[in-house]
Amino acid sequence: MKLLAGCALALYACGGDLASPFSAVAITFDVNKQAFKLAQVRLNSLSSLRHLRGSAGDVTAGGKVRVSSVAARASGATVESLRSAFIKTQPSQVEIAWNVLNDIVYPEDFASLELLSTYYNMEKARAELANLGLTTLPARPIVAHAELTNENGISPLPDGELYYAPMATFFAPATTAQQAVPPAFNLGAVAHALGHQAVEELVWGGTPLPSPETGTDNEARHIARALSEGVGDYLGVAVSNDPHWFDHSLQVEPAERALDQIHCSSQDMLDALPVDDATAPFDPYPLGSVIASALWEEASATTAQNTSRGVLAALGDLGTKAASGLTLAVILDTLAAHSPDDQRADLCDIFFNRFEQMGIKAADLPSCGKAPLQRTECQ
Amino acid sequence: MIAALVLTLLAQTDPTPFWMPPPPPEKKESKPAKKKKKPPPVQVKPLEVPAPMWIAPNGDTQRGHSTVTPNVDKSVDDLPGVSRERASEPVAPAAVPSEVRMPKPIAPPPQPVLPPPEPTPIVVEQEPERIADVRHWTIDATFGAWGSARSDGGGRSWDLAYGLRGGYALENLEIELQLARAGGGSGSPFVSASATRNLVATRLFWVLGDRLALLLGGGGGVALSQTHYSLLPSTDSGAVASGLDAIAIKGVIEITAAARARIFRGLEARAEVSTLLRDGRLELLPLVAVGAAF
Repeated sequence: MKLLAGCALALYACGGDLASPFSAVAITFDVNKQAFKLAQVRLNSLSSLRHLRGSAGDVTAGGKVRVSSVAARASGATVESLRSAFIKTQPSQVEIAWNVLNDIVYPEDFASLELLSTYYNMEKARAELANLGLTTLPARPIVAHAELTNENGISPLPDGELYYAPMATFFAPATTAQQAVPPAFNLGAVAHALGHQAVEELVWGGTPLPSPETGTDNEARHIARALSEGVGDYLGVAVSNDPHWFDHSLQVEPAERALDQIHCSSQDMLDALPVDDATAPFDPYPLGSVIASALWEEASATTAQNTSRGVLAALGDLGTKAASGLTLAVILDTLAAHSPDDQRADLCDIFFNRFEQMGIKAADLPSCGKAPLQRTECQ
Repeated sequence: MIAALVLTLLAQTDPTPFWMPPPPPEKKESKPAKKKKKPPPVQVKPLEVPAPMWIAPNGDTQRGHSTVTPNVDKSVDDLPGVSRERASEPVAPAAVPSEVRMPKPIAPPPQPVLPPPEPTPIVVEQEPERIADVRHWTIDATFGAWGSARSDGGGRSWDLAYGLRGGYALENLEIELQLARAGGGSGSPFVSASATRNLVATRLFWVLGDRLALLLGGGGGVALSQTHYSLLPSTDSGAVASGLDAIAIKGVIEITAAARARIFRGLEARAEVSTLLRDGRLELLPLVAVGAAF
C-alpha cells in the first residue's frame, strides 16, 4: 500500500504534458464590451502544452538576435542563412506551469499566462485566416522575450511589431510597465503580423525582403511597404472585428490608424513615393491606412468575410504580377478583381474616391469596368 | 679533673644526656591528612609456624600446638638432661624423622565480607549528562527562498520562503514534518499574476553526527498552489482591475541535504538545501532554521 502511494506520488510529482483539445484560461478581448478579460478559451492545435508546440508555431523564449540590414539586403541571402547569421544565442525551450481545475488549464505564473495567451492568439488568428481561405500559410517560429537589436543597438521592430520578415520569425517582446497591452495579447496585432507574413510569403515568394527593397526604384519600394501595412491593418481589423485594436497596444498615434473613419490619399503621399529614404524616410502607414480603410468600409457595409476572402485571394495574384512590378494601380485593380461580384462596383467607387488625389482614374482599374459613381468624401 | 669538668659542662648544654636515648623527633605540624578511604582489608594468611617438638622421656618425639605455650611443669625442669632453653628452641626440620607426624595447619579464619566498591565519582557525574543529551523532539522556524525555473526559460525566479519543521529522532534516523510557504508575483500594471505555494511534506533523514550533524534524506508531500490573476479590462484611467483565483494540489518529491549544529543545550541551527520535483519541474528550496530540541 505504501509502495503504491509512493508510486502515485512520484507519477504525480513528475507531472505530464497535455495535448489539444483542452480548455484554458487566457487573456482575450471582448469586442462588444471593448474590454480585455481572462476567459475560458479552447486550444485546438497544441501537441505539447508543456513546451507550447503546435501547428500554429513552436514557441521558444529568450536568446540574443543581432540583425544587420546590410546582410538582409545582400544578394543570395535566404531566411535560413540570415537566421544562422543573426542568432547569437539560441532561444530556449519554454516550460509552462499550470494547474487543472474542472478540466480547465490555469497557467500557474505570469510567464505561463503570457506565453499561453500568445499562442492562443496566434492559433485563433491563423484559424480565422484559414476560414477565409488562407490555408497554405506556413507556421513560423514564435520567439518570446528575445534580445533583438540591429547594428545600431536598437530594435528593428521599434513600434511593437511582431513579425520580422528577414528571419520569417515572430518576436513577442516581454511585457513592460510602459506597455498598455502587450501586442501578443492583442488579437488584432497578431492578425496584423500574420498579414505581413502573408504578403511576404504569397506576394514576394518568402524571400527575406520584398524584391523592390533590393532595387533602386524608390516608388516601388515604398508602395510595397504600404501594401504590406495596408493588408496587415485590414486583416487585423477583420480577424479581431475591432477597428480600434491599435488603441490597446500602439503608443504613437493609434487613432490615426483606426479603420472606422475615412482615410483619403493626398498629394503629399504621392510626392513622397519617389523620395529616397536617405532624404526623407518614407512612412508607409498613411497610404496603408487608405488601402485598409477602403477595404474595411466595403467589408463593414456588406459581408466582411467575403471581402476578406477576396483580399487573401488577391495576394497570390499579386505575387504573379510582382515580377513585372507592382504599382498602386495594379494593386487596387487586383483587389477589385478578386472582390465578390456584388461588392466590386461599390469597392471600385470607394477606390476611385479615396485615391483620387493620387491620380487613380477609371482607366487605371480595368477590373471595375465602368465609370465610377461620384462619391464626395475625399473630394 | 679538667676533662671531668668539661664533660660536666657539655652535659649541661646538651639537654639530653648521652646516656639517655635521644628525644623523639619533633612532630611537624602537618595538615590533617585527607580522609582516605580505607582500602579493603587484606586478608593475611597466618604464618604456619611449625609446632615445637617435645621429647618425651621415653625418647619419642611429640608435637604440640604452636600457639599454645608448652605445658611444662616445674617438675620437668628437674628431669635429667632436659633444660627449658633446649625445649624452647625449634628443632631443625631436617632432623625430623620421616615417620614423625606433622600437625595439620590451622584453618584460616573466614574472610570478612567486604562492601561492594563504590563507583568512581567521574562515572557518577557523566552518566546523567549523557542521558540528558538525547533529545528526541525538534522544532524549528525556517527561512529561505524557493527557486523555480521561469516558464520563459529566463533562468530561475526566487521567492521568499518561510515555514516550520518538526522532527522526532530515532537513533540515527530522524523523521520530520515540513511546512513551507513561498510566493511572488510578476507582470505589468495592465495584467499580473501572483503565485503562492504551500508545501506539506514528510521527510526521513539519516543522521551522521551528534552535536554537529549531517542529515541526508528525502521524502514527499503535496504543494498547494494558489494563483491570483489581476487584469485591467481597458487602458482607461478609471478602469478597475478584475481578479481570478485558481487553487490546485500537486505532488512533491524532495531530496534534502542538511547540516545541524546543537549550539547550547537544546538550541539548534540548521541549514539545508532541498531539490523538489513538482509537476515535472525541478525546484530548489534552500532554508536556514533556528529552533529547539528537547
